Amino acid sequence: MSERIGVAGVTGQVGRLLAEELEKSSATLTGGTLGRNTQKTPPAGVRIYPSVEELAADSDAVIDFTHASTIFSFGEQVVRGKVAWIIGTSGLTAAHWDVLREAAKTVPVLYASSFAATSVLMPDLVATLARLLPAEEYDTEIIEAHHKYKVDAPSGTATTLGRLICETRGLNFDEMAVLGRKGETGPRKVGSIGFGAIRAGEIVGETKIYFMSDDETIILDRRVFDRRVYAVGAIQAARWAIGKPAGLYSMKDVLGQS
Amino acid sequence: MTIRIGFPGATGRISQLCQEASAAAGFLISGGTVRANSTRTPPQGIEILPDVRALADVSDVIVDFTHADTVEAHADALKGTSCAWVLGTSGVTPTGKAAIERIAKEVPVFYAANFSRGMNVVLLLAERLAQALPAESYDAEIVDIFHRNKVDAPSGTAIALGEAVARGRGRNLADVMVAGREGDIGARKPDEIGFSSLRGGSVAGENQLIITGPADQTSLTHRVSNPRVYAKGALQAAQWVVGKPAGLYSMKDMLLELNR
Repeated sequence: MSERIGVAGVTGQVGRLLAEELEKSSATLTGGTLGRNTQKTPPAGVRIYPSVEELAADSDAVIDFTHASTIFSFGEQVVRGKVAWIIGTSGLTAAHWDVLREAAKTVPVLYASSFAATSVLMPDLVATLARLLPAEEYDTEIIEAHHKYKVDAPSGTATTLGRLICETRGLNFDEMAVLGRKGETGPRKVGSIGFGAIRAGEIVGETKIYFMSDDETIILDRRVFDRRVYAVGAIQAARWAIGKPAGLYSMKDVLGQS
Repeated sequence: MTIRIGFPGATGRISQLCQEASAAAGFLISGGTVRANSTRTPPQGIEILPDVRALADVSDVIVDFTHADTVEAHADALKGTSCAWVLGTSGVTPTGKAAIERIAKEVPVFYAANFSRGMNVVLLLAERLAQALPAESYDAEIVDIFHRNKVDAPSGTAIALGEAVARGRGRNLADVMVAGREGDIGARKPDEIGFSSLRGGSVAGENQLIITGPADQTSLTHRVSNPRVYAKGALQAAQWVVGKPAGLYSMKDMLLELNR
């Protein structure tokens, strides 16, 4: 039977791509909910549901690229609707993660800061860099660049990788993250990770990680040219998650890398 | 116990950088050798011994950045000693290689064409990336940038980067390497690895791997800002290899052990 997949925020940038890609796929697009900006017209032919709960009732999975603030209400709705919940929202805090974990007791929940296949390799590469290039000798900084419409900074990809670097080095991310430098910052603290966020034009997404010693620099740079890679990856994740036992999953599970 | 470290070719540039960093790294310098016809002044405060054998007898490890010509003689000099050999000579000939393999049955030998830790981490990651991103949909290209006086291209390190990618894909670099594109060359073949070399100014060394897929691109760049990085890596290798069983070791062996 064809998987029934719904799109929360189907008027959003990724939401529209998800609708297009689902129409092309062998899965069935059940419909969507409107994004925060209700002025935007939904894609033609897509059924609009008044709530995520009603969308969930007709679907096997709901893909959610909306906004971190919606997590609190969506959590209960997907549980009542008994669907797999696929989340690509960035800027999640500890309170959001609590909601994800709570929902994961009842339904499959899959979170990814990026659904692109190459992004899934990044944690492994970054952890190796962090382990072999220790904080005492190698200063780490992360620059990310995204389109001018992105409303939060730094990006979820950047902070997820920064957190991983700190954890690998046995450091506390919240103490080490420098999310924006300005004015009398004082000298750089050993082990800290500085973030830079560029917002410009239509840049789909770039994350650049520097490891710099007194004598050498290593840069790992990843660029996404087309946002469609996220939609394709999220649909792949949704189809994988349908029918799985309740639990919290990642793209690593989908790609068999965990 | 303090490790006694000796320096064949003690007037060499990298050797001197090693000597400068030795005390801070906790080594005791046992001495050095200089070429018989050397016109350079030997470094201050380092005892110059008559030959590598005499140096090996008073050392736990020798760090050797001399010349490909000396490899066989130095391998012979280590026979019957318990001195480890850290070797960073480039352009080792097949007979030199055979001599290295022979002596590695008696003493621990650590060979690297490039001792920079960062570059070797990049080589490690390059192989993993190439393994995960198939040639049918991901194109691998390599760029190297060096100072205006460099006489060969691509750089040895760029070639090592290409070898890592080829290895990750189960190919031989020689079969897929394309260096210096020019003219009406036709469309890119899916499995080729292209090399571009830029030369200018006093760039100490930059090597980059770029892997481009249908909708994304991943690149790894290594940039040297101070050649001291090679000395530091060689000293780290010396520390690591002393006390190991006889055998031939590489930067990859050391990094994989540290990465565990």
